[in-house]
Parts: sequence; C-alpha cells; structure tokens
Amino acid sequence: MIDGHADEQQAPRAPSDGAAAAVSFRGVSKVYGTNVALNDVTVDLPAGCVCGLVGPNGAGKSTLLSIAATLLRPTAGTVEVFGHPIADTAAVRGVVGYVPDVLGLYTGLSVVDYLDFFADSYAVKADQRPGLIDGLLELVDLGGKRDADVNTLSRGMKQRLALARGLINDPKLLLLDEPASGLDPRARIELRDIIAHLNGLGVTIVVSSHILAELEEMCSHALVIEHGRLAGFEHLGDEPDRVVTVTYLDAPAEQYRISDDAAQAALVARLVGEGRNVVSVSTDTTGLEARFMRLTAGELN
Amino acid sequence: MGLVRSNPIVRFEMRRRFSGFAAAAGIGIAIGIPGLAVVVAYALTVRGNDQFNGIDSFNNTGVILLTTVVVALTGTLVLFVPALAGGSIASERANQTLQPLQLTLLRPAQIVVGKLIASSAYLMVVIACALPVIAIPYLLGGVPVRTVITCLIVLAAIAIELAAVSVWVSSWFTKPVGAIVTALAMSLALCLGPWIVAGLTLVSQVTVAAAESPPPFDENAARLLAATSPTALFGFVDLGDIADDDPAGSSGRLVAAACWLGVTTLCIRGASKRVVAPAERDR
Ligand SMILES: Nc1ncnc2c1ncn2[C@@H]1O[C@H](COP(=O)(O)OP(=O)(O)OP(=O)(O)O)[C@@H](O)[C@H]1O
Ligand SMILES: [Mg+2]
Repeated sequence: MIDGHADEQQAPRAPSDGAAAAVSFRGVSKVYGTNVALNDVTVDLPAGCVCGLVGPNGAGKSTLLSIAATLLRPTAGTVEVFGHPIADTAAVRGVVGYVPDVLGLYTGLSVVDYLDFFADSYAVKADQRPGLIDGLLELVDLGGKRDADVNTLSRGMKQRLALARGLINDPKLLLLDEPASGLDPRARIELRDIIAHLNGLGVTIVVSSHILAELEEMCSHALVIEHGRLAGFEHLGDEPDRVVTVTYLDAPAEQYRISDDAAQAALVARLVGEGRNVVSVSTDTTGLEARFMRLTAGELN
Repeated sequence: MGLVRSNPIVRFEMRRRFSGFAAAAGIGIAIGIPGLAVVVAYALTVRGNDQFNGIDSFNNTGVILLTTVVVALTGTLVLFVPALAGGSIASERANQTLQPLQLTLLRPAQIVVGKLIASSAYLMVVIACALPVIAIPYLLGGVPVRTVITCLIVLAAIAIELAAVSVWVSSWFTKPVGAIVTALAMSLALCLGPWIVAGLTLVSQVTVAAAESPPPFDENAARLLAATSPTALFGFVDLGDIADDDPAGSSGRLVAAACWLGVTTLCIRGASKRVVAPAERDR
C-alpha cells in the first residue's frame, strides 16, 4: 500500500500531502432543508488505500459517497478527486466507479447485454467490449451467468453485477456503498477478495458499511462519521499500539506495546526463557470495533 | 448528430420497445380501433352515397372514410402515446436505474432523445401497421395517394410531438403512474384545448357581434388559436374540395408547424434539464 501517513489519531483533520490524495474533502457540508447530513468534513483519502467508511444509520455515509461520485453537490466546501474538482463532472466520472446501495439494474435483458449497454454508454469501442466484459465477468465470478436474465440472478449475483458495472470505465477510485449488505458469509469473503485484488491493481477503494468486522479485514484506513461529522480517520494495521498485559505469579503485572502476533510470541518466549513465572498474556482489543467505539464515544463527549 | 447516431440509448430502448407482449398488443389496438371505426363509417355512408356523389373534386365516400380513419387514429394516438412514453423517465427513477446512467458519459439530451426516438420508432411501426386501414378510403373512395400520404406524415408528426410532451412530463415524476396520468391529461389538453378555446372565442365574438351594429367579427384569431393544437397539422392535408388558399389557412398552417417544432424542442430541452444529476441542476 502506497501510503506516507503518520499517526492520524492526534489530528484527524490534518490534511496529508495533497498530491497523493485520491479524494480530498475540504469543509464539506450537505444540508437537506433543515437536516444537516454532513457537517464540515475535512479529510484526505490517500491514493491506493482501501478506506472503510463507518458510521451508524443516517450518519451521512451515502451522502459523502454520492458527493464524491458527482451525483450530489455539497452545500458548502470543496471536493477534489485525483485533483479534479467535482464540478468538472466529466473528468471525475472518467476516473470514478460508483456502486450505490440500491443496485438499480435493468431487468428483461441478459447479463452480458446489460454490461454491453453500459460499456457503450462509457464510449468503449464495440470491438473492445467483449474482451472487457469477459474480464469483468470473470473478476466478479459471473462467467457462468453471461446469458442469464438479470431478473433471475440472486441478490449476491446482482451485487456483483452492479460491481462489474462500476468497474466498466476502469476507474482509479471505486466507491462502494454497503456492498456487503444482503450477502452471505461466503459471498462476503469473495467480495473481500475482489476488493483486495482490485487494490492490488492500484485501485483506490472507499467502502461503506456498518459491519465493522468486515471492514477491518480489508481496509487500510478507517473513516468514522457520526451525525454528519468526521469522528475519526486513521491508518489501520501498522501502528504498534497493541497493548499486551502480562501477569506473573510473583511479580506485578507489566504492559508491553507490540506490533503483531510474531512479536507477541517472541515476547512470551523471551519472558519464559528468562525464567519468569508467566501466568497470563492478554491482548487489549485494538481492532476497528474497539477504535470505533472509542472514536465515537470521544466525539460524543 | 451524436444524439441520434451512435446513441446507446436508442439501441437499448429499441430492443425493449419492440419486444414482448405489450409491443404486439399496442399494434393490435392501434389497428383495431380505426379499423372498427372505418367499418362503421362505411356501413353508414354507403347508403346515402348516391345523394352526395360527384359534388366534390373526388369521391365524397372517400373523404368521409378518410376523415373517420384519421380521427380514430388520432384519438388512439392521443391516448396511446402518453401510456407508451409517459413512464419512460419516471420508471427509471422508480427503479433507481437513473443514477448509473447519469454517471456514464451519456449527455442528458442523449438519454431524452434516445427514449424519444425509440418511442417514436415504435409509433411509426404502429402507424405503418394501420396502413391497410388507411388504404380503405383510397381503394373504396378514390382519395388521391398524395392525400393519404400527407395524412400519414401528419399522424407521425402528432405522435412525435405527443411523445416529446410525455417524456417531458415523465422527467418531472418519480413514479410512472403519476407521470402517465399527467401525460394523458397534457396530451388531451394540448390536442383539444386550443379547439375549445377557439370555439369559445368564436361564440363570444358572435355574441358581441350580434349585440353591436358594426360587427367586429374576426374569425382569424380563433383560427390561429386552434392552430396551436397538433391536430391543426391536418391543415396540410389537401381535401380538394375546400379551396384552402386563403391567407388565414396558410398562416394557420404556419402557426401549426411552428407550434409543433417549438413544443417538441422545448420538451426535449426541458426533459434534458431534469435528467441531469442533482449536482448539475441549475448551473
Ligand atoms: N434526499 C434526501 N432528502 C432529505 N434528507 C436526506 C436525503 N438523503 C439523505 N438524507 C438525510 O441525510 C442524512 C444522512 O443520510 P445518508 O443516507 O447519507 O446516511 P447513511 O450513513 O448512508 O445511512 P445508512 O447507514 O442508513 O445508509 C440522514 O439524516 C438522512 O435522513
Ligand atoms: Mg447509506
């Protein structure tokens, strides 16, 4: 993952190096009548990241994604996608793929015809479309359903078809709004694999969900919003803030900061090797869920 | 030019328009109603035929039959076109398929014109299928081919204008049912409204003229009012008998043609503005 982020925890609003940002939100607000859906959100999502967008129902996740997708105009603030202001819709739409939470598929036509229509609408040349569509169908594992009517697909398959549609313009930024909703555990794992694969190809991905555990496994960053406000943005994974508490039979407990399982195993081996009477080794949860609770609790204070 | 050629929406919509039971049923209705009307009219006119025959430049039976067919077909179109095209954009909203379209490189005008072309193409097929019925006045009544062809062209023009109005109405709605009902009302108002208003104008003028001694009677105003109806395009049809080369007749035709063009283009432009993503509205 290409990422030069330091600890964002202290200053979640600090803009990072602008050049590397895939999406940059500056003071973004969206007001529906009197309902404030987004309130002064400022954050940079680095290029190449898989960013989880977390928040309770009505937090403003879909609103934020729709704005980045050029569907909604913010009431205040500016948004840039790979340096293009979102008012330049043609430029932004050329690099963004968006899969909304409602799938919005046409029925009464086959999977391949559906994708062909969208490829055509993105001005993909007729002779390039079959190859593109075959590749996408293989990626989302719908190769066997090429000629099936869109109507006859299961929910999970429709979700994957919508994903294929979102990828048809070969986007650099993929916005997925609750892609895991309605998927069984197996389909979720497959979705995670697809996301990892795309990220490996250099696609920046923003994925919203309230299933925190799902996001944790696939995201490099987490963006938490609540009541339209940015409650936190941080880099997951490489921070050494796993705190391990070791209790001894004959000594007061000690705490260690370590980075991963290997380090924890090494620590235990060292302590035992030193002849200390280790009773237990417990890890504080530092997962997304814990951080989510911490972040949102902090915001409420 | 890209609005018509190489417009993905045209190909896509054509395919949907011309498939399924509804497509066949529509054609059946469009032939059935005028067919029935012409049979009834023929049965009624053949009896009194001898009395009127030979008065006009061509056979009176032919004129009566042609009028019957054309009126029946126009009436069918006025009801049928809104049902066909009134749901076009509203149903995209209802099924939430419009957002993905808005994100493609398609221009809003392409979406609107694509839908309009597909609807119109289907309507042309419907009118073409009604050709045997329209041919009856030609075969039985001796109406010239030129007159029959002008009628066909006018019917096609009316169909296109009503389709454009229906698509425009559709662009304001989020549910197809409301859009279709409103489009139907618009279609009726557009076709009949000008005639009713023109009629009322005439009646009021006649009343005033009767009251005053120097009659300020002017039927041209009423004529021009009526010409705003798409049905006024039938002024272009040469019925041979009524020598229609008076100035009011030709200015009426001019108004009719201008109104057709104006309403159609305004509807396309208006609908295009409604089809863009909310982020691009009012910009
Ligand atoms: N079209 C709209 N008109 C009025 N209010 C809206 C509209 N869309 C969203 N809102 C409001 O904006 C707020 C944020 O909505 P949004 O859909 O962005 O939340 P979300 O985080 O995606 O929620 P969920 O998890 O339920 O999908 C909500 O209070 C919602 O009621
Ligand atoms: Mg949402």
